[in-house]
Amino acid sequence: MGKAYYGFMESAKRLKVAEIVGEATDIAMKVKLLSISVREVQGSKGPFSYHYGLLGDETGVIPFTAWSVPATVREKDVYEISKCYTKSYRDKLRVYFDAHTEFKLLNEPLEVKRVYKFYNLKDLNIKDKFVTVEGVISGEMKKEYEKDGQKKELYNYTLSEGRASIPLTSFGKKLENNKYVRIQGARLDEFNGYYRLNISDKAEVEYISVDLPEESPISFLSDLKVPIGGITVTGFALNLGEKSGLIARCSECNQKIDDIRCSDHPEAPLKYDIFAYFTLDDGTDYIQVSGGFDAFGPICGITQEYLQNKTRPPLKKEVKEKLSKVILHNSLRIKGNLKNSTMGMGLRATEVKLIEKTDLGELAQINGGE
Amino acid sequence: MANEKRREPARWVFSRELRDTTLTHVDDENDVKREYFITKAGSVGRRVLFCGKITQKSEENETIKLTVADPTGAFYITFFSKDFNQDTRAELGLVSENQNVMVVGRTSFFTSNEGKFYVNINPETVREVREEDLEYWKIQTVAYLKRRLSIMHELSKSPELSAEQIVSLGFTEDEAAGCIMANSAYSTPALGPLEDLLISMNSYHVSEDAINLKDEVLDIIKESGAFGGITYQEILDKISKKGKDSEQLDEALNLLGSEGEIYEAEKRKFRPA
Repeated sequence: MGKAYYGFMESAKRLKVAEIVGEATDIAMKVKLLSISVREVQGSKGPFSYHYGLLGDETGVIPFTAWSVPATVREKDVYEISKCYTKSYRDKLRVYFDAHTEFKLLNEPLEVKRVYKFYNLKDLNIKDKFVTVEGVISGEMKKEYEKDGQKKELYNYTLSEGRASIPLTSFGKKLENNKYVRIQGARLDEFNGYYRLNISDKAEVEYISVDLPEESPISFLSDLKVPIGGITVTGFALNLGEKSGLIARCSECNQKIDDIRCSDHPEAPLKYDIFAYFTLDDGTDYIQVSGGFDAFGPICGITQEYLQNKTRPPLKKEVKEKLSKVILHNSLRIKGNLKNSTMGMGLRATEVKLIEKTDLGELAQINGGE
Repeated sequence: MANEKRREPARWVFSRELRDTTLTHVDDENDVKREYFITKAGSVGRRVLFCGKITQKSEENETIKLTVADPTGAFYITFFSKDFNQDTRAELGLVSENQNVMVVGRTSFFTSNEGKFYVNINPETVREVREEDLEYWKIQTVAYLKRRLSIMHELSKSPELSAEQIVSLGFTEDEAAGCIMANSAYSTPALGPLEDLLISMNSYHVSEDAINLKDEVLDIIKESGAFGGITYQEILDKISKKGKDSEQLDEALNLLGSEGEIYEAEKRKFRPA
């Protein structure tokens, strides 16, 4: 990815936020302080604190750092600020206030234009919490909840774009299923290792008519950087994890049982399940893939009848052999969701298939089209 | 992907690309010496993954040697049996000549007295695979080679291109780093043979006729037994009696070549692998 170049700007007397495109000194701006927070750090000369937050005007929003700020300065107020400067920090421009910076309180309103950077779903980055995204809305599920004694509604969707998708929760706002939508001001967060988006009434939702090109869903592993869903990859399974195979679960709470019975439900009978994990290599990178019955059962010919057969319970060795025969060193096509964990990012498989002739045609087409 | 300590990636390269390699790079980090091959098309590594057909297998004392043919030539594999690699030993015991296999292995290098550079492969995994696996590996390896050759072309025009600029053209950081290293290591890498390779291998879309003709052509080549191989014209004469033409023969020969069933012993003379 190309990085933006922030060259040195000529000093200017007065700038709008949108006009800040490089580093500059001695600038003046009329802005609203949208948020202000304090952070204490341990420096070489002892502890000190500084303030940081967001400021904005009618052209946009930019973060600031204040090494020094008068005690009277408060958030939500509008100020004429002079003798401040801009600098690039971690590839992003910020406004800086120091001991020379002057703040003049203005008793007037200022409409602030929120701008949110556009991201393709596969490039979303948790460092940028509020974003603009696009994609097709699908899979509506409505839920009701209570807040402050009032009944409210939320809607769960999947937003799909290109070769990725992400869960999207809309608080209060019903979206149109199967429509292509542009959402400004969606909030990105990570839950249980997966990325997801939330929107409230404040988010701008615009339906766009687009002709979506038909494209293969297959991604290269080297293109996958963040835990998004709806991913399809291919590759060779290089190994099969030692603990892959038959596992037992409590029929009551579904917890995996390593002992003879569930410690919480000792009376509950056990039920059998399968679990497998392996390293997948597609020639551009490799990733740890894991999955359960839904992913590996069909490809290995393992059914629920086979697993739950009381007269002939499944054998550990037999299950491992079935998994090994189909998965190990074969070329596979895998659908799933990327997930962050302490071991790094992995792929939780939802569907695993052997590469077949139709896949080869599809891959040849993708590669030929480059 | 995550930044934790990572396993050395396996490079998907054709035997021809590895055979044309003459340079390595030694990484001496933390007093551990690691030697990486640098191919002329910008693949840098010390582990490879490839598919092909076993054309030769021999075993002597604790050493097993394999030759595995891909559509561009052969990989040479030498396995020394030790206490720690008995899983691989067991896998090698299960494969035999004429089987299609997928191999993951570490590379080692030596230079002969005549100054010729050789790459040997110490296998970590050798398993029998399906025809589809072979074709999958070939299609993807063609694509990766094509991408790296595009970068090498850009670098030949503008050697000062940075990794960041190459990435901004749509390539990965890994591809960019490998190609920059190759471009500076080989002052003028000769890429023509690898480009010709790509042209000869854009052969996935094969007609039904060629698929039907394939076995018949293979039988003709095997039955010939002629020293140095059977000529193209001789094969054509035989199949034209059954109403087949040279276009169908070309496709069938390409298909057999890409599957490692035959090789061109001399120009337009074919022998079974």
